[in-house]
Amino acid sequence: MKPAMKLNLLRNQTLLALSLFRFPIFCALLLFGFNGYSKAGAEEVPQLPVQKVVMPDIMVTAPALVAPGEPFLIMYRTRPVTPVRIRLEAEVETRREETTEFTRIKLEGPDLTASSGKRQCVLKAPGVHYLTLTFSRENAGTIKKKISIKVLNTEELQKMAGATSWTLPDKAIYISPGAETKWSEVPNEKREQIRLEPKTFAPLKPVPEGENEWWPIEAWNEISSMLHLEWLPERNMVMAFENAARPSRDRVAYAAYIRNNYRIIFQTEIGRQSWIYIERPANLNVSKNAAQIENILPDSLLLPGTSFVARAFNRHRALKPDGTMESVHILLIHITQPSQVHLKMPGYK
Amino acid sequence: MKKSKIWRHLSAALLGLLICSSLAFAQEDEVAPPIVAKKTFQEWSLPENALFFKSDDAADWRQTPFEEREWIQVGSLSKNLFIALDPGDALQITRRGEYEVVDDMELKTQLREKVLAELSYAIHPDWLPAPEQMVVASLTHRSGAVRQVAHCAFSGAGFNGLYIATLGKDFWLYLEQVEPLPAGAKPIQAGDILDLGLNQTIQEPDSEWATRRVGVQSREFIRYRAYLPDGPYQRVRILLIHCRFADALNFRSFGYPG
Repeated sequence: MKPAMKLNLLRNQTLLALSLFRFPIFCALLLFGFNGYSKAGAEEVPQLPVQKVVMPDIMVTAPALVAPGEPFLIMYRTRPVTPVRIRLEAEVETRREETTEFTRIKLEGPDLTASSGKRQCVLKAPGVHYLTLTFSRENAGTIKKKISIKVLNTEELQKMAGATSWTLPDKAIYISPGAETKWSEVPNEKREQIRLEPKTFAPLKPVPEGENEWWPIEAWNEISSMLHLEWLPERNMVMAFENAARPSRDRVAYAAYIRNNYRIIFQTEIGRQSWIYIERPANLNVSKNAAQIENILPDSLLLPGTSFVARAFNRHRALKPDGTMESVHILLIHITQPSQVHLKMPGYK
Repeated sequence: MKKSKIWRHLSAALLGLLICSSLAFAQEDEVAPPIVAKKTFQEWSLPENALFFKSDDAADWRQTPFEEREWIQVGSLSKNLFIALDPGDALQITRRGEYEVVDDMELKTQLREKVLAELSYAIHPDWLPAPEQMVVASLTHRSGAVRQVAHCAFSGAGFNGLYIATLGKDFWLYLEQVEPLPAGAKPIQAGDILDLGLNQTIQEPDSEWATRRVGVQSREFIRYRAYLPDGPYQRVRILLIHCRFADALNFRSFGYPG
């Protein structure tokens, strides 16, 4: 056999062997060659561990009632966590009579990077607006929160207007059964009074989490859900505090104001219970706008089985312990929230 | 006998009957009918006058932070249990003041009637316990104020119940059923128990009146319940109802709690 023919035969045999055993060869290369290559690569370029980013739970608040075009704040807060960069967008669904409109509004400002933040917002069209707020964080997905805001129309604004502040020099009122009875001479256990700012109250602080802006909004929302427009104070009349009387340091608020001939004090332990004091001069003729429960509280609270109680009193009221007593007719309403029914030692009080 | 005479006798008899019946009705009007429980309940024995709750069966009740603990205590705690609880609980108990069961039979009867009358402002007669099942006591607060209180633990077909009342102020009704419910059993709802058709509005615009006499709230829970902090615990469905009276609303204890 010629050397050239030998070479040709060897080449053909090799090609045949390769074609027959190509799959085992491929597997061997895969197991030994590529594995060794990747191991070598891992030693040279170490991979960074993947950091798990969690979207924190977020609470949102905004005033429930606003005027058209009135700037208001949308506030958010989370548990105090490492500051996170959050992008905020709002999608607005507006319901007016029988129409529903969807719009997207941009809440101007840089990304939020703290455990609380706020954005100013303006809504112009009267009606109920359902805002879907999208909080998004890099590598952590998004959280959507819904809030509803009612933009009042002209007629509703007129109904709500007209509240003036009731100035109480002692931040208290003193109540006596008779005009001749001096309040300071009434035995301690029988004394009747309302104190608006007991010694246990402390002002809310701007830190942490914008407390001083958050709780007045929450208080306003509670008041506006419990009274018809004709009985509401102005939003800026609501004073909010922290109450150190209990370890839970409850947030509380009050408003003292006058509407028509009625003097009103609204007090609330936010999220727990509220008291509404409404007085009118005893000699005032009761007219159509008289302080009747049906005219004061919304229908949702008037249903049977809801937790409010109400009582009326004939008393004399002064603004100083021994000040001039005025004969007044008082309606007192107490409303408790569902959060008050729990298994943490309900029982005798 | 003449016809006219018969008519005279008949009309006289009818008149007499009318007067007697009206007198009987007048007498009934003057005396309020006693409140009678329609069903009889068995006693529900609470060995330590307390119930302990957990949301998670694997959790240790004693290890739960004080402000998150769920439990109900009626009457006075036994000394052993009192010591077993942590100092935070001791504060809670001390704040409640002295608890003393009323032994005087006449006073006990009076108070039992009063409690049942108050329960009947909101509770359907089917759910009222018998007066003798009600334990009445006086509770002296540290401030010196004395309140009359009452409780009654009872059992019926497929449920246990507990009334806790502060006379003139409010009462709680705790009802539990085993969870899951046995086949064919229905969960008890607040609407099955409450009877709020009456007593809601007494309105006289220029005098003192109560326009909403009873305020009601109710909630449902699923929990693990035991008679002792360490168990054994049983999974139960709970209906908790709170009723309070407008009569307790005043300007003496008015406002934020101090």
